[in-house]
Amino acid sequence: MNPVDKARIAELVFAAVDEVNQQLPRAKRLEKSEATLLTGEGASLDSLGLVNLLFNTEQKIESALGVSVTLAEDGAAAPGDAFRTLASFTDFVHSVVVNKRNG
Amino acid sequence: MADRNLRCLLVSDFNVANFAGYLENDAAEPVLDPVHGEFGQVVPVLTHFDAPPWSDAPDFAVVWTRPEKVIPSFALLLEHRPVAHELLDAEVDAFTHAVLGAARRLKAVFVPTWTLDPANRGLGMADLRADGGIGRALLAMNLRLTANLDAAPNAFALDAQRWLVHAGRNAGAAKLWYQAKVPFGNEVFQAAVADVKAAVRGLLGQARKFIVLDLDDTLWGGVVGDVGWENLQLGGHDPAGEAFQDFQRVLKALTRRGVVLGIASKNEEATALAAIRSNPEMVLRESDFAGWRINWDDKAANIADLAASLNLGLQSVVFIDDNPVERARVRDALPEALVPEWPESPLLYVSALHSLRCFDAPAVSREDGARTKSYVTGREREASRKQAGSLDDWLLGLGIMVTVEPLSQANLRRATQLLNKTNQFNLATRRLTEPELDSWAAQAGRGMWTFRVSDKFGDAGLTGLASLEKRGTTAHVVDFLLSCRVLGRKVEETMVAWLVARAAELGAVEMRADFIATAKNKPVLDFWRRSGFECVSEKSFTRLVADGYPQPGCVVVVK
Repeated sequence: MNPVDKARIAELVFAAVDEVNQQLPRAKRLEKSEATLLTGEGASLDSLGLVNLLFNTEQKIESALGVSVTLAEDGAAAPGDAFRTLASFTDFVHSVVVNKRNG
Repeated sequence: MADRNLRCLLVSDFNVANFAGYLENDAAEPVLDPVHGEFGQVVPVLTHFDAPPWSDAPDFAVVWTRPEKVIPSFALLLEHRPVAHELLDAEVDAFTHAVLGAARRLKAVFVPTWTLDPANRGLGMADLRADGGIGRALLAMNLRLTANLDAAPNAFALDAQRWLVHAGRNAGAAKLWYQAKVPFGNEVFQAAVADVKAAVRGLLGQARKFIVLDLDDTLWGGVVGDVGWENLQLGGHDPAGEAFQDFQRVLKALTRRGVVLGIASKNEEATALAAIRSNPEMVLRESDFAGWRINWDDKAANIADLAASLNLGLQSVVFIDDNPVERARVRDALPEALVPEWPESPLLYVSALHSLRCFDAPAVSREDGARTKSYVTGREREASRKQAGSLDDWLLGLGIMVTVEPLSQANLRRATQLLNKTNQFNLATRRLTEPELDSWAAQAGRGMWTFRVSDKFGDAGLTGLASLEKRGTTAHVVDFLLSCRVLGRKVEETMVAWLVARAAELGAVEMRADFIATAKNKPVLDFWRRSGFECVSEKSFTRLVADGYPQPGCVVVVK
């Protein structure tokens, strides 16, 4: 089994952001940048936006990598800052996918 | 609606934010700004017009509900409890009563049909039987819903089941439901937005109505100039041949709902027409085409010329060609025309045509079904014009008859359709729903008339509409519109003469027409400039009613 490339995960997360942006009001669209804040102080994503980001990322991961993950459930045990920025979110998703693949 | 985007009220018993996002972000015209009703408050939002969403003055509404929520008895049925169908009927009636009440305040309301989670098999093999079948009950509820909505001309059920089929395994979204009360996946909402937008375009008169077709490898397989009409791939026991023939059948069906066909093909005209006339497998014949340009010239120029010859704007045109180079050329030269990407395999042509969402219209009239015929008779009329000695002789020989009727329930639907579809010869380009038009015309001091046109070549049907409103001593021409198919036969002058006579009856001293410019209606301005009215400003024309207006001698007016 090929190792999971973090750059590939980042591409899929950005693809999920594209989808989320189609679901958000124009004024609340997310910038596709590692530094973009997702949750916490200064972030604009509401709870539905976060649910959509998780859902769309799961769909992209399953479609591209054939790995079924449930990020919301895994997120409960994740580090507190996992959903703070797109960079930390990508790290989190990468770790979930690696763990899933490693059984 | 120049000052703001159109607004669409979303009324739902689920979290509608994702649907709203897709609707707001969809780039296709027209742009719609979503307005939310309070979450879960379907009937209160539909019935309390002093509530917040109504203060935003929405133009349209989408009322999208889950059957188990809005029809309480259906929730019992889902638990396999016994429910009398009369109870289901009564609850469906109560729901649609609320929808129809809201429709009176909107240009249109769209109601997606009720669906179930595709995984729910109900009673399995017995689910479509009368005794407790969930699927059976849902079919009956949807049928009653759609029948009830027929009571309002501006209420439309949209088939949500197709959206679920389109989304396939992504139709349901259990994770989204349990985390955010969003019951459908993204693809369902995207398909819904596409259908709502198509419906709104249809209501705004922005539907396309002219398909220009290539011939070789588009309408039939093979190059007719090389293989001859006898050897074209068309019909017979051949997958591609059958597919080409089915494609022609679907095109023919479109002509019955008012879409006009034309040809733009690089071929020898005589060779191509011989194939259309002689190949026994052809479904489409010469009389199914409003016109053609079959030559070796640039296709974009040919399409523009053909559309202009039929008095159709390029915004009406859909160009279908198997050749990507020709598509790119036309797309580049005629950006107003729709040039869809086209599949390489003819086996996919029918589904590609079906998937175009540009032909939606709120209703199909008798005139729609006869539109192609009117263009064919137009060709015959034009041929007779070339043979006639003078224009007056020709007009006199046509036997033109104009039947004038006041707006009534009998002609309201067609009049509304004409009002909303006519672009080029339209003084004010007002867009109104049937109730709005009916209500406007019923006010004191106003009059509205329809004009049916026929001549010895055929009956063009209800093709003209005009209205007056008396303010002080002036009778203002509010609407003045005529289908381009009957222009140039003195019908427009006949309509003016009629209005001047009605203005006299209203006691007006002066009649005035104010032109409201759009990107498309210069032809009506040109007419008023040569109408004999005094041009008091660049866009305003007046005449003393006492001066009358000459009724063209070549037109017989029937009241």
